[in-house]
Amino acid sequence: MTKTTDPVAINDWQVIGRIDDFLKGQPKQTRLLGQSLVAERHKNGDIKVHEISELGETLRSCPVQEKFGHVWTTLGKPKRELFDIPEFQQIDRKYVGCGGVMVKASALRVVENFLDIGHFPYVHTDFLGSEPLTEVKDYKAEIRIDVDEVWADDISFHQDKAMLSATGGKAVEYMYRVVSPFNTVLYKTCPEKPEEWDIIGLFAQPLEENLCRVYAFMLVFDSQNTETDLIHFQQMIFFQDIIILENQLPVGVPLYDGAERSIKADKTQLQFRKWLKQKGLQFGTDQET
Amino acid sequence: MIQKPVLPKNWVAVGFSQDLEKGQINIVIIEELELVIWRDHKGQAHAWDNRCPHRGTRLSLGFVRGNQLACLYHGWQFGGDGQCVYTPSIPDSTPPKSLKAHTHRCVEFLGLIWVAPLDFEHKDIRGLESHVRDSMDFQPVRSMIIYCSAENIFNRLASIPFPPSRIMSRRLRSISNMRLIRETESVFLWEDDENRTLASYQFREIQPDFVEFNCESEGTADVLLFALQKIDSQKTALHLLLAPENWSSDPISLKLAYAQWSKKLRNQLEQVF
Ligand code: FES
Ligand SMILES: [Fe+2]
Repeated sequence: MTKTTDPVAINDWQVIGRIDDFLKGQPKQTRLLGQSLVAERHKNGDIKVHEISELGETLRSCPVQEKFGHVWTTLGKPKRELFDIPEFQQIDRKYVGCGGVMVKASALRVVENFLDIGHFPYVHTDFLGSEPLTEVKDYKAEIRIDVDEVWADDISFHQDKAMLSATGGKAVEYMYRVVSPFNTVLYKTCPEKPEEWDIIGLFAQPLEENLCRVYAFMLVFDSQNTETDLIHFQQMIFFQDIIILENQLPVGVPLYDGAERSIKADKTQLQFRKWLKQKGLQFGTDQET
Repeated sequence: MIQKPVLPKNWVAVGFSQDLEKGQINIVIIEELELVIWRDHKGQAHAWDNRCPHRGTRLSLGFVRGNQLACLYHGWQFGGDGQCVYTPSIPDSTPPKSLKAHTHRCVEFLGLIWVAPLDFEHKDIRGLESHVRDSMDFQPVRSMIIYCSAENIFNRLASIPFPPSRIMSRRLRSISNMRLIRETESVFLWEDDENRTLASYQFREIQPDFVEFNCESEGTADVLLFALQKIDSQKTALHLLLAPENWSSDPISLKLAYAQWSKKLRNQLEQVF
């Protein structure tokens, strides 16, 4: 595949790895939106990113920033700053980066799956849900024009083991926030500090239309569990999702009418699709023929 | 932009009935379109697009629950007609009619499962039936993938005669040291040091990708049916059925003997000249 021509995907910030993935003197090649890149941390600590040709020649250089434990770049000229996740400033939260996982799917399918509650009893049986408590009660989902984000809240779902720190099944509250087409975070009831929310986020690096690397992270209040245990729990949940994600047809998310049927429980995804359509995003979508 | 695959307008055999048990789910591909084939507990076989109408999940990952197919992702359940009958995230409501799997026609005939699009006008498989001598006792020999286009196979099948059952039942598994000599356009001589057997062949197209090959040899008549399933331009599934003059005392060995021969057939078809 060659570099996408989709201006929406090009003119936006995209993740290309974790901060610790780039060490001095160890240039790394990666892909972004169908384009090969090389990223290298120089002696002064700065990361330089370049597009490279199929033959490995260095082409233009790309802007870089390191934020939220990850490295961000763009193949174009972003119209806006990289989004903010203010909870990264709360120093009493534990930050846990789960590393990158390759998924043979469109990054948009990954984000949609992240926004989905109805699959909990079937894909994450006995952890995030189980039969017969499968009902998704009505909730709110909207495009917030002022911040150009998709939000869903007032969500409550019965979970058997919502987090590693959770004991016993209970109704868990959720909020979802989509900050850019390939990046999203959720807020869920914090078992240890009921007045706060635990945060789980997902940054997807769209390598090709049908391939992405997904970086999950947590910003949680958890004094009991080790970082390794938290990572393992999150990875187990995500590996259950991958079984689905690599088996969706068509690979791209269809934004045109009638391709896929939705019900009330899919409100967040419907708002997400509407928002993508308004933006005119093409990368990772399925085109009508 | 790539054209989305659609089913051809004819009956396509996708496998043997005996290979799909109650509650079993298989994947088949016809002209690049991926289908899920499943059998409910009443015994009825179904052929649908292998994607859930909800979020496109391969239905082949799901489960047969009685006479319904349940999707793995959100547990939607579909009846045999493709209609969604249950959406667990709204447990108390009847799903609207618009929630329906993409279904196709699916019938069983001659021990094969056949698929055709819903809008195929010759929807009655008996149209096909009238072309096949129904007094004959056809048994499945083997399904196999051949790395070759269906057109190519079709064009060359007639030039690869199969051994008459009288030779097969005599020698069963080994015909490897038999010589085959072409006498005329349609008559061949099978010979080794002890025996010489003449056989005359007739090739008949019943419908596109479904052909009958007859062999008359010293008063016995054998029939092979070849059902071709185009997978893509390079790959074809061939389903082979046999009706010999009689099934003799040892039908299993006879079937095995033809199954062995079919490997030779595959080798010949895959040979590049
Ligand atoms: S994708 Fe099949 S039930 Fe949702
Ligand atoms: Fe999930």
